[in-house]
Amino acid sequence: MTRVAVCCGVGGTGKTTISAALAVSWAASGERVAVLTIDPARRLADALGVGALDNVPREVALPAGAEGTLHALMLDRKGTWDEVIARRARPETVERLLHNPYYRAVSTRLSGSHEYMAVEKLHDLVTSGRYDRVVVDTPPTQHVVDFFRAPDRVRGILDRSLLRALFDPGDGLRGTAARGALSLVRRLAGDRVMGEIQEFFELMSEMSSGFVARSEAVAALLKSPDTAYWLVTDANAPERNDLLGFLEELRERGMGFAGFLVNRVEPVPEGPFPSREALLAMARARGGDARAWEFAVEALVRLPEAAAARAARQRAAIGELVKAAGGAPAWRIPEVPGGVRSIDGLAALAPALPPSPPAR
Amino acid sequence: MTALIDHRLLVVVGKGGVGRTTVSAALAIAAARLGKRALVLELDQATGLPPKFDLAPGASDAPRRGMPGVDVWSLTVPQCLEDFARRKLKLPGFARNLVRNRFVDTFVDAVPGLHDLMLLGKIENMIREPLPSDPHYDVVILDAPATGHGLTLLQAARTLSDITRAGPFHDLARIIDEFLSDRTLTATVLVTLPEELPVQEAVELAGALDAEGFRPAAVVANQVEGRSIPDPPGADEVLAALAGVEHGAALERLVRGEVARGQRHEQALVDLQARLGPLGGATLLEAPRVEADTVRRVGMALAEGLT
Repeated sequence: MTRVAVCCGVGGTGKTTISAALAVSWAASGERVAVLTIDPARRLADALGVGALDNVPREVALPAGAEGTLHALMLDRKGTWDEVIARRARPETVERLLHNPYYRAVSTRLSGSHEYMAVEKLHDLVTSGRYDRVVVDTPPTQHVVDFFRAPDRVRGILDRSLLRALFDPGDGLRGTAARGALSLVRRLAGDRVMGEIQEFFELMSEMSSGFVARSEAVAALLKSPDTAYWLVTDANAPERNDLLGFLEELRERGMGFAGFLVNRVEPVPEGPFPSREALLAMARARGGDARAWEFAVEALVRLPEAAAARAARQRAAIGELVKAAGGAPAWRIPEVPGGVRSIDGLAALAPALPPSPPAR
Repeated sequence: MTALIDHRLLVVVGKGGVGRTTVSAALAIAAARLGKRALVLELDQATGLPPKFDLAPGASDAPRRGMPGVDVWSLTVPQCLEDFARRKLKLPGFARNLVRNRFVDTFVDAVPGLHDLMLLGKIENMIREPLPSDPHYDVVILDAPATGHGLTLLQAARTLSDITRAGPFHDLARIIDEFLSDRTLTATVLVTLPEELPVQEAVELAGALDAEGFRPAAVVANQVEGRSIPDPPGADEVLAALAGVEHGAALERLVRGEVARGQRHEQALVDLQARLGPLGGATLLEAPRVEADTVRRVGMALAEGLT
């Protein structure tokens, strides 16, 4: 059975790096791992060997001593749409879809389709049976819950009921209202685009039972006890309300929360540090510009204070978060000056990460 | 060339976590300091902007006063769609019900780019064809969403042009595209951090923006920290002196960390400057790092860079 770790979080928290570090860590301890990354920074992509955007899992060379294997792939939204229709539709339908301007726009630009396709790809990886674990990095969103809502939205759009709603409003009072709305839409968008949208839905409806079956399988996968959700957050700016909203959403959907992965945690400065007097004595002994040294001494006195204050602020914020989440586990991942840029750098984070298998 | 702050619309783009919202708010404050009336906007589901001005997050029917010279507004799609129906289609009061209809909603949701176009349409209207009831703004600053790092939003008009090819949406798309592409009216502002990887990503995004005709007019390096060890005496001299002090080793580690960070930041800024060169003429602004998001201070600092 393949287990899944989904790393959620808003953009800018280092989610892609943390997902990769989890994957490297679990692979090093003996699992066959696949990591699905989304829009990694160039160096990380190079380190993982996923510079090419082609949807194919590629084996990543792990540091010496690793007991498992790691494959990485980068999600290509357009490629995944094309793959899905190629698998499900008759060749002539595929051909017509590929030439439909509305399909082209949906497959490249529809908001939410990135999330939807990430889930589609995840399903492929899990059902391939080739991996013990799949780690999923999620697309950068404004709010963490978008990862769930977006696929629902896209499913809603692909669902046949929309086709009916738009092109076959039915009779009665509601039908009349719908026809009014439809004629407004037609007036705004023009007949041609309505024709293309209609064609799109007709072509898609040929596959819609396949889509429905697949949607159900994907939904079951996302709710499975083998799928765990991690929340990646930045120690400097944990957006508490957003994160707690996400936990609420998980609970409502019956999905398992694994814990927080708190990134960029600064170390508590380890003293003792020289006293101001000792530093002033040092400055006097050094000679030179006395005034400049005075400023330097003040700066030196402030350094440990500032570092301690930063660490204390982070600790307090993490503590509050954990408390508000009812004591959920929080893994503290240290700040890496300059950022992580290699497989070795990822592997170095392992001691701070949840071991395999994680306690749930 | 139009000075940055003399544009009518500034679109603030950049990857998540670089501080787009802080920089957007700070640009509005800087504009106000330079005697302009500024409106700073966030779109749709964003909620981060009003708190920068001590306002509660949430949509409102009209812009809210953030501080003297700066209004703040969280725009939503239904609002803009309604406005579009009223202004462009001359639909009377019942338009309200029609555009709130589920089918229209579903349609707007299902057509890529339409969502963004409605928001941009409202902004363009406010700037170029304000109603007598609309407040006048010299400059509108748009805190663009992180999704697609803002490029998707700027491309929305073209996406929709490709799909529609005729009709009122198509016409609107053409107008918006012209407005966004006019470098005397609209400027793109790219936000990044003074570290190697964010700079690398910013340069890539700048290239992508340029390829689409939205070459950034300014790049803001956010959270730039001042030198924490005064020079003179300078870090080397301080480190040498610390060797002879009791508990000096612990402090030396912190000083070395600070020095390394300072060097990384400086190097990143040099790289940024050098690599934006080929893009020609982007102004590089530095926004200082401030504790607890004191946006006002960032605004003051940017105002200095803009004069």
